[in-house]
Amino acid sequence: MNPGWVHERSSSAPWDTAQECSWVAASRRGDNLAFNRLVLKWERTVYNVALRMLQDRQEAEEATQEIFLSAYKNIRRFRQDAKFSTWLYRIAVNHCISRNRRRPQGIPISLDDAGQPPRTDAQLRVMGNQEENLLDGESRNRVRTALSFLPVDQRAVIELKFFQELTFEEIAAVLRVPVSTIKSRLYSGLDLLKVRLGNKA
Amino acid sequence: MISGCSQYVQWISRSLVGDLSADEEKALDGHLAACPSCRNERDAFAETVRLLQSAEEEPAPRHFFVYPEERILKPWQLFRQMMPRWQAATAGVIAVILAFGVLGVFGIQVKAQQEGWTLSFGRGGASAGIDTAALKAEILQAAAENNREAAREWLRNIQLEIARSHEDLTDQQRLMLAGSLSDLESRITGRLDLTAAELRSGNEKSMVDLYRTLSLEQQQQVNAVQTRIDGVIESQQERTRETDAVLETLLQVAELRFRPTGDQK
Repeated sequence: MNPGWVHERSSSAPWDTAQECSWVAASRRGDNLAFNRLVLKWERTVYNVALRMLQDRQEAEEATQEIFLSAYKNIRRFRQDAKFSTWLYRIAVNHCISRNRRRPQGIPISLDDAGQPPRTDAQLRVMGNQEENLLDGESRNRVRTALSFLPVDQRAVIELKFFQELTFEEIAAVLRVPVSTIKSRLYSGLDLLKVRLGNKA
Repeated sequence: MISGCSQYVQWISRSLVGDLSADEEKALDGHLAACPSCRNERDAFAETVRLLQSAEEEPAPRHFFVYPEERILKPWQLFRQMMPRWQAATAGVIAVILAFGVLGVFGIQVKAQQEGWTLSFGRGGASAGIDTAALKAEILQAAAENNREAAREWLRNIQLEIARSHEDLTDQQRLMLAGSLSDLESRITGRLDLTAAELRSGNEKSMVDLYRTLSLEQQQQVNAVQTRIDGVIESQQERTRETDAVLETLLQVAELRFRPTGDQK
């Protein structure tokens, strides 16, 4: 059975690929405007990745800027035999993972817009009275809250598989771990999410 | 849940991401038909996956452009660094804007000097905030009108190029290109969308070459406008949201010129 979902990806057409290649090549030659054209194309994707990985808007904003800055500084190291998106995803996800680990434990993260503090992982102090489900039922908030229960490694794989729709091989290339590791993280993460998203108690 | 189900339960999530072999799928389907508790498990997983897919993406709260470190560049300075074809696009559009007299809205001051015009960008003296929405609408409309002509011309050029180079292509590539071309012709005023299955990388490269071919023809237009833009006065403008917004518009206009689509991102 094939997964039924097909979203439009931002760079599926070969026209886009050729155009993106020329922007990347120009960026490597120092063309700042070409790089910003890449930013324009990818900033929404990267911001949402950061938002789901970090569970905090301000952090996501800072992280996104840092990710693009890092990409800009390292663009010459990008070998054009690989896909640009793989390289960018790698920078983004690794940056978010290390940011996540730098958070001091036990200190509350800022409130999200539903007024509920998102939990990161089980080691953080639970704040106040937590409901298992948000009452507003908006799927985006439910998903984000559920994601906050995942350890960050699993969150990364869920992000890349379901939100960015990469194949297992692509995810393995981004995270530089074997496909078997990817799969085990994915299924553990799905199990956890199933519990969190389905729990009506 | 019966103990014999444990293997199938593991298979359920694998099935949802397409990670089962055909035989395993069949076995799972058979088991699900007979086992209601596993069916419930499957439904719970399917609902989880559905929720993950249906969660919408947020728009970016602002732009994340990277400006070079040595100094804060204004959009005009970046314009001058553009490759010629982008300069052509933006120059053409900016000429249109000047004609429409959006200067006042935009806060651009035009000063007559001995050699020609100089343009300064950004807040000069007493101007209101830049109405970026209006500016953007003007720019995009002018670009869209410009774009239809460009798209037709681009298509003609492609057909010429194909005819000239058809000996170099394999039959299969020629067929694919012919298919792509008829597709393009029928959608010239709408959204042009080439699917990945129809073109291979060899043809992508020839598309890139065509970009260059077209851009060379516009070099003359660039030179004409560039003489006017020479002598830009750098304002004291700090990088602001308005600067980002204008840069975004310039970038989108540049893209529009060479990517014939009616949609913007």
